[in-house]
Amino acid sequence: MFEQIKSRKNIVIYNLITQFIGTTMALVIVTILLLIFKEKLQNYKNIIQIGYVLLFGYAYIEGLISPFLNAMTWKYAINEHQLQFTSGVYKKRTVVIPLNRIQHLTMIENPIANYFDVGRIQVVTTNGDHELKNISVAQGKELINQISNLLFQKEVGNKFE
Amino acid sequence: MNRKFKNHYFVLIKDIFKAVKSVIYFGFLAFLFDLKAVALLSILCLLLLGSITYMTLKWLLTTFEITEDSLIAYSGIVIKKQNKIPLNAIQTVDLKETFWQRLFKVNAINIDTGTMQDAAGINLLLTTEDAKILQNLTLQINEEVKDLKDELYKLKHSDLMLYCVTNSNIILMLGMFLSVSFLLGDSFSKISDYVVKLSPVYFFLVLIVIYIILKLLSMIKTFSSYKNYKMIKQDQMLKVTHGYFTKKSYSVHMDRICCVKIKQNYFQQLLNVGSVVVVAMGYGDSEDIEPTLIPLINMDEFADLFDMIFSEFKVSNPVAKPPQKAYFSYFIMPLIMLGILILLTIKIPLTIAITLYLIVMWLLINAHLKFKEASISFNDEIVEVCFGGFNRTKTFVKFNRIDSLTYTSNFFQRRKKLLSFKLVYESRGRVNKCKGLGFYQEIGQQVQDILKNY
Repeated sequence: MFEQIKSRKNIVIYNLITQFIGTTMALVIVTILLLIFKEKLQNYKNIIQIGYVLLFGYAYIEGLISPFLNAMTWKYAINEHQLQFTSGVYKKRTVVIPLNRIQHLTMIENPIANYFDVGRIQVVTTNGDHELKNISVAQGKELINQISNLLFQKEVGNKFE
Repeated sequence: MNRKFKNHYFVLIKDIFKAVKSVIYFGFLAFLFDLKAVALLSILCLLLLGSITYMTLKWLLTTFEITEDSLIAYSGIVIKKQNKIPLNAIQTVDLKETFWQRLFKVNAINIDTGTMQDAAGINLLLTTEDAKILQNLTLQINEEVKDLKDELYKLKHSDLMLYCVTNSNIILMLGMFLSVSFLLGDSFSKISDYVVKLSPVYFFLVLIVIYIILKLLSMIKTFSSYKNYKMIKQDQMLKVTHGYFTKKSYSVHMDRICCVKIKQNYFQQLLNVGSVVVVAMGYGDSEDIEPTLIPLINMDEFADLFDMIFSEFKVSNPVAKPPQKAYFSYFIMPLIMLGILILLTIKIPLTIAITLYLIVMWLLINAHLKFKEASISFNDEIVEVCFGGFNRTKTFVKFNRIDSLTYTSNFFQRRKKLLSFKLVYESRGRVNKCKGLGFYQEIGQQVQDILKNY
């Protein structure tokens, strides 16, 4: 059964702030680089101007819309076999991880995220990791407990079989 | 069967040589900065003497012991360290012999337990004879195979030549090209500017000549790497040896193979030949880009070999292919690139524009081939995925080694009830995945249902 994300408002505010900071930092760095290489790029002035406006225009609009969409569409489900999470509006992405393949789970927190009660869980398998984003800290901790219990039950079950 | 081994004195010579080299380097630097020669020489001599003493003690006190059930490595001068590896935890034992090691009749041996930690393996340098004894003892197999019945496959000279010609080692070629351009420095840019200014025809001719030279060099490297290739089956172990200047020998436990891949580029597809790659924990994780089991084999010949050694990977169920309505999904990226290229055409020089158009044409044909070749088939244990156009890969993966299944679908795909999927499976330090584009949604659900059993 899919679980909807709780504390949606906080997640939207947190994502709006982080996306805005990230895009603005990228904007400042690109602007400084363009000013430094201004003379060398003179021949491509028009293309760069169009690209600059389109790129950062898109980034800011996306930064305004995506936090709402993300909070609405992020869902996760867990049963005794698999952890599954899904996201996206136009392009939907579903990740299925067999519980047996999970090596460890890490709860990632930072001061700003903590203030807004937003957490991230890193699910590490033998071949890499996946991030379960946009959940509240309490919900994340509950999920970790749930997976640990399921894995423990499986292990004990297998030993007795 | 307790037996003790010790690193060959070649290790000590190599370490001392390294120390002398660094001392000479520092001495040279100090002379450059005009430091007092006598004081400096005394310090350097002391340093050299100290490091030689340390290396000798380290070499003397590092020993290895093999017992009934484990391999133990003893090391440390003041603080003693004992590294015990149970024999059943050993995944692979690889032997390597470089040109210099062959002169001293020694072999580098790498014992791998397949875990992610760096300290998980043991590296030794033994005499060739001792290395083979240790390899057999650690893998708990009998003496060296002399019976030719066990020889599964031997690469013929003609096949090796064909592999060298058809295998496009783009990374090696690019590396060689960049090294030459770096060595030539300013002259390289002057020459390239001159050629570009002459005519587009000259530009492409020069490109072809550079390609031929690089191809010949990469062919020589590939030929020497896979010379004397043979594969032997010994109990449940596959043993592979190859190499001319640097000899390599791998052992792969067949139970630990989690994936078999058949790779074919376009020329190989036309000639009905291909390379076989296996993914097994620990195997081939050293310097090689991919752990190639068989560099080149005729596909008809491999069908028999596959039945013999990889019978558990056989999927007899019907093959699912993407429906005709998924055809357009394969062309999205090349068409976007074509659109951008058309917009940029006026601004870029003619030679670059022609090159880019050729690349986009290549991508469009590749997309068509990808659609034609894509397929998936599975039973309760194995999933078989075929993907790729000019470079096609057929992957056979065990379901119990799949780490994650990701499926994505955009708005248009959802309307057509289609999806794309990606399967990521077990490996160490290398991302191993296989993917499919434009399959029916039920396929994804069926794969997910089977995954529930593991």
